[in-house]
Amino acid sequence: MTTLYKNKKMLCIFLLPAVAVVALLIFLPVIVNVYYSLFKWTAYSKKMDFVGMRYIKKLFTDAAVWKAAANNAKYAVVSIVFQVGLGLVIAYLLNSFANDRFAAVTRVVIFVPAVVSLTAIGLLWVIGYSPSIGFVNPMLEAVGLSGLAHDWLGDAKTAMWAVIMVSQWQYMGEMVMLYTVGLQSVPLEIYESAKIDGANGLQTFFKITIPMIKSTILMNTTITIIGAFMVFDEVYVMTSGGPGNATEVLATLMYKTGFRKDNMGYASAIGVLLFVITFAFSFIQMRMYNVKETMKGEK
Amino acid sequence: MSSSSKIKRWIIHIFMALYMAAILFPLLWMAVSGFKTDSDIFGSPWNLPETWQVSNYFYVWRSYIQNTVINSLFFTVAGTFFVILISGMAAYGIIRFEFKHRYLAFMFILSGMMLAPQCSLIPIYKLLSLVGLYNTRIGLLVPYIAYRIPFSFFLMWSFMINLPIEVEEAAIIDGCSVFQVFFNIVFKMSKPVIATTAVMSARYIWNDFAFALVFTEGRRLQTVPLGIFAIRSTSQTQWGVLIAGLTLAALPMVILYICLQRYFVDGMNSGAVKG
Repeated sequence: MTTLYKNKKMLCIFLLPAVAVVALLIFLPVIVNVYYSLFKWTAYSKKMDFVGMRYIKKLFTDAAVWKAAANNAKYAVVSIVFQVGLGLVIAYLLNSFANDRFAAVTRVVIFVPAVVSLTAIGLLWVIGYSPSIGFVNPMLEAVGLSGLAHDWLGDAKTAMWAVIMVSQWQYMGEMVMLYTVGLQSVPLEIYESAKIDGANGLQTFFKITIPMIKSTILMNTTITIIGAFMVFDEVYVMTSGGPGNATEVLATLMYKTGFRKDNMGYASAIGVLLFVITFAFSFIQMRMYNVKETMKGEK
Repeated sequence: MSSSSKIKRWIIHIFMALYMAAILFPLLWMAVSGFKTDSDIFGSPWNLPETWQVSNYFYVWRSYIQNTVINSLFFTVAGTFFVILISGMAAYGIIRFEFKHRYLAFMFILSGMMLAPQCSLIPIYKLLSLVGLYNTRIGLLVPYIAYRIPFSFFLMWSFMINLPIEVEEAAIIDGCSVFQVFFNIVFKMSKPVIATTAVMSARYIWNDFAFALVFTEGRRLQTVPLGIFAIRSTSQTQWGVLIAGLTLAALPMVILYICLQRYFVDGMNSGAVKG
């Protein structure tokens, strides 16, 4: 190895920008967030009153926080059913049974909503769900389900589910894409021999496909859960938490507490809670990447 | 192929065609309804426009989208440029340079992936205000870059680690500096991963809503997502205009995706499949 690659000054020039930016804007804010949650403060005043653990303790007794966390949990459960579950079934059907060209076109088409901003998609569905100008109710009427026609986002009972379904519509194609790579890495011989042994489609799916791509399934599950707890844009754009607090999630509750009610200390505490939840799942995810092995294996 | 598996294939094709229709219908409805007059919009959602009101698109472009596109382009292009430069340099540095804390540096940058930007909206807002960068171009650009680095670094690292060192050694013997080697050789050989990284970061920055909402205010730095969100709150009943705006906002990424599909797919997969 050449001596050029031992030059410490050069090394600093190459590494420092990335390390500094990550340290200052990703790690530092997490620590500062904990610190800020110990004070009562507002956006436009320099005054900060120490309140200790009061806000952190309040998190556990605040009904609004529990309501929001429950909505995030709903988001996670539905997303696991649709994106992790149904996404896998669709990827499997396309990969194993559909005509190759047809499968390729399907994968491209169903991925399209995932590249559009949540803001545009959210507003599109606000209009789509609207009882006066939307297309959802007329569609239900067209298939003879006019009894279900509804002010989907205006009714506190259906609003959360309506928002959640938009995310499923938008991101299921992305999951199909992720699964397809996993599915295509399963050696074809295994399927061949299963066929010779007389296994049918369902048996093959449960006995071969699922065990073979277990790591992909686990990975997609954690990605989905993290995503469900970070949800902000879709909710803020579509309902901004309403009607009432029917669709409030942790991130929108944090935003409103901080920037609308100007209770920055408590908003920071909600941020800390959000951090703890998403970090726990991200940590599991990173363990699955098995980076240490990857780095050693490839060196 | 047996007749039963032919039937099976047909059933699956029909089911998938329905799924595709469910994806495409709202998007096509949006593009077409953008041409409708407001009274037309209150008619049946199945009809084509009675008169094609092209002016909706011109009006929304002039009054709402034009300025925001310039801002969004700036953040997307500048952000993507710096993300690739900084991530590529770090990846190369860790792969080639010999130093003691290599693994630590690698993990440090990579761990950034574990921290969701949503949790840190308030501290970043406060830090930006403290240093006077709230509601400035730099103040929004730098967080965009920062949160794209860990993932992009990982992406570029996993590509660059397989580059042959012999080419670089030959160049160094010929008297090239490290910078020359990096920009003229390593970057040139890394074109595929640069394209993938660029597409992933462009998608993220162009579509962002939360950062722009929290770190800026007013119309000066408004990006496209905030611009279309603003249409909803300002024009109470101009539905045709709003829908036309949504179509214009969605279009660039859809076109980019159709043209550069391969890179979107590569980017998605390297992010989720075990390194």
